[in-house]
Amino acid sequence: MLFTILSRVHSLSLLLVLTFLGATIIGAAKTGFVPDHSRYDAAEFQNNKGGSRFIVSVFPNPSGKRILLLDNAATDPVLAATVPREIVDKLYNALIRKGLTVIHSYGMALDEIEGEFDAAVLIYPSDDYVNADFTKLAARLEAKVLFDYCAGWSSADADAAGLMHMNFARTYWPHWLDSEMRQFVEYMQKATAAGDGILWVPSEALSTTAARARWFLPLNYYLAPRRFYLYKPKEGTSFLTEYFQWVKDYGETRPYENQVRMKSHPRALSKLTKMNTARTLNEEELQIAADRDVQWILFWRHQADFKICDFELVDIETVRGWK
Amino acid sequence: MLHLLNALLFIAVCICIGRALLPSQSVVARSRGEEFAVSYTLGLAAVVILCNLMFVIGLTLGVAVGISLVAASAALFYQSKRSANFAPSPFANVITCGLLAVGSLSLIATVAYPINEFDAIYHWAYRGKVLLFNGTPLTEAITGIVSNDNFGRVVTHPNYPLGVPIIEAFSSYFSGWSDRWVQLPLGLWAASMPWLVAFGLRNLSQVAIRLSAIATAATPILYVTNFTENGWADLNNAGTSSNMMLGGGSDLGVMCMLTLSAALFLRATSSDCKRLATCAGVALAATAAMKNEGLALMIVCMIACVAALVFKSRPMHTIGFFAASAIICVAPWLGIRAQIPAIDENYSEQLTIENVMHFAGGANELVEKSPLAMSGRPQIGKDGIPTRRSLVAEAFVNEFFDMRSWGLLWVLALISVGLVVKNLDSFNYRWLVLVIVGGVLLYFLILLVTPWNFPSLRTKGIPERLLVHLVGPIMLLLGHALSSIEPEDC
Repeated sequence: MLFTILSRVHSLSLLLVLTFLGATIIGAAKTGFVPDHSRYDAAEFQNNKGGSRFIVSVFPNPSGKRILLLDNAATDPVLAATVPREIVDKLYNALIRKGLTVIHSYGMALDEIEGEFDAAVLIYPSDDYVNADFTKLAARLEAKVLFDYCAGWSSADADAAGLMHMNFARTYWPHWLDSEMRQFVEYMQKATAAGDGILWVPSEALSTTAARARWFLPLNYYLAPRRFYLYKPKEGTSFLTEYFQWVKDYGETRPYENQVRMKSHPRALSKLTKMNTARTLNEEELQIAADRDVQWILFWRHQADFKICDFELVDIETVRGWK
Repeated sequence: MLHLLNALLFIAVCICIGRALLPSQSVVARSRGEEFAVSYTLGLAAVVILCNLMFVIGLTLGVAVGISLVAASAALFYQSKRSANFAPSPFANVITCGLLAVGSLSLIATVAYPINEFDAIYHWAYRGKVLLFNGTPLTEAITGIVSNDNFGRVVTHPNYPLGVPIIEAFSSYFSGWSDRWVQLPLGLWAASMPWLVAFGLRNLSQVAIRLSAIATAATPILYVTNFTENGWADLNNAGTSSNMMLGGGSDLGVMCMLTLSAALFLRATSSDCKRLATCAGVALAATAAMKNEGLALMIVCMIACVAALVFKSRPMHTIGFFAASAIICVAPWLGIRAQIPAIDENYSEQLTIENVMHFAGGANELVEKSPLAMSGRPQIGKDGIPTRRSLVAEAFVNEFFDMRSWGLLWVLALISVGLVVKNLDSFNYRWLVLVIVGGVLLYFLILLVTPWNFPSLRTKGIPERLLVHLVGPIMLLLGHALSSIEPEDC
């Protein structure tokens, strides 16, 4: 008797199942049956000390630089991904201690904020700040740098206005939903033929072991059947432990050593010429390109956040011509 | 629209082939629902094996698609010559409608988003694209991950089996790839389960069939794991996390194929039908073609067959046909696998007596080298490293009592296994108990000797993603257990 009752009790789990299926379908319908960032937890700035070093490290001489903190007034509603006030205060105090001038916006509309600055920091992802006119903003930022502590700004839009965008918030949506990555995929679909071979070449040392930085995985998938070649893919595409070792190993090979950065090479997508990742190839890389019938070199900077300025696709003939 | 039609064509081809493979209803009775579920999954198993056979002899997906279409047409003609007298459904109309509704919702939830999960994209769908574009897995796109120089092709886990990729590639062969619609055939895994269980139990009591089929549909892990663990956030984000079991993954494929194989085998032993036993072998081979663990489960099933022979009631002929067809049908995949680099998961290399004794004897957990994998977890000092066996045992016990993922499934399984003492005369009962106990033991041993840091695997849904493979045999055993106590209790 007890056994039969237990079987019937187990069947009550159907309520949980129906709740899940209903929530999944309704949730998907809300975003047009296409996954977008709104279906995931909001981005979060996780540096409890304020992350002043991110800002200070950009300036060779930070003293006197003017930083605009785009934050909220005490009366403004707290939006998802807003950096908590106590962290903003820590950031403010740390920057002041290092000799920078820091100006709070306190929720004021961008057009109403007066003055010139070196850089802006997004603290409060209000519509006005997130949808800023980057061209106008660029004209007011001497260093042309945006620090994003809410993952609110589009790095592609910032790039188009000549602004370097750096996101420091942790995002919870999967990396294949990155809109800049999708934009780059579309560009590569047009620029390359289906059967082309493409060799991944880092422009500099791999600077992160973040799993999200493995952009070769989504590009390889979304651009199939294009042939992507990578240094030791057995380790680079494997579990985190192996990937961690791959980053270290690749760093030790220093393939970029003694190579010339081709900053004057015209950029295909990015407006940030100083950030050009193109460089000459070493002998091993040139040999691999020849052996594998490679048509393109994809120069890249290994970063967790996909920015189009970190990628440059150059045809092999042009690269060979640089040697 | 073309993508949807192509996926529907694949489903139709599978159903036609599957129906023709099954013995007539006069030999093996089944209702319409059972016929649909068994035919579809059996036809799918046959198509997967056919594709593997084509690949191993150097032919391409196009040839396999062509042969499948011809076979489906011939099957349709053959079927039209056979009488089809469906047995009455074991369910009342309201239960039938309920099971169909849950199945339909799971199908819609599967295709609600394009493929949107790490493993589903990089481990499975990428391989599906390779089959679609290159026609074969024996191509640089998969084998080129290793080379004599330091460079190679970008591909994850190259020696993962081709079941799901074949389904996806076939489902987009005429229309081109669609991240959403290649999942349609995969959306029928969970929906088919209650009917497969009902088919396997048809010779037993109506109450046992009904309770087992409903219990199957109600088992949460067929759809999601740990749902509501994070409260309302799980409701808001439903269907977007890697906890979702539906979609482009392959664990449900293993589960479904093993269930089909077990259901066919049980019916084959009770009806002494060699044709059905052969079909069960085909399904078991397809289990191995879905995920590497399927190969290990196949061995467990074979050992269970041998071990279950120790008492009376020995269906030797049925076992012979079952084993022979499974071995023959899995051979093409093994032939392909031998030509693909074995990376990351080489269980046969790890599962040595020396390794098992090392960890079973109390060896410590391995140190995770990657700080990223350790993020969010407390750092463990050298003196405080727990033993591997304690971590794995704790994980298994936690899973057995995780109602969010399993409901009371493991409690029911434990009671059913205990009732074997009452059912020693039944070969089917003995075999099911051995498969379940053997399966759990197998996964325990695999995780005991895994070369990876176990807590890192735990965060990736291990062992629940492995244990889900055993849901079918557990539900079939539950049906047998309920039926065995029916005169007293039901």
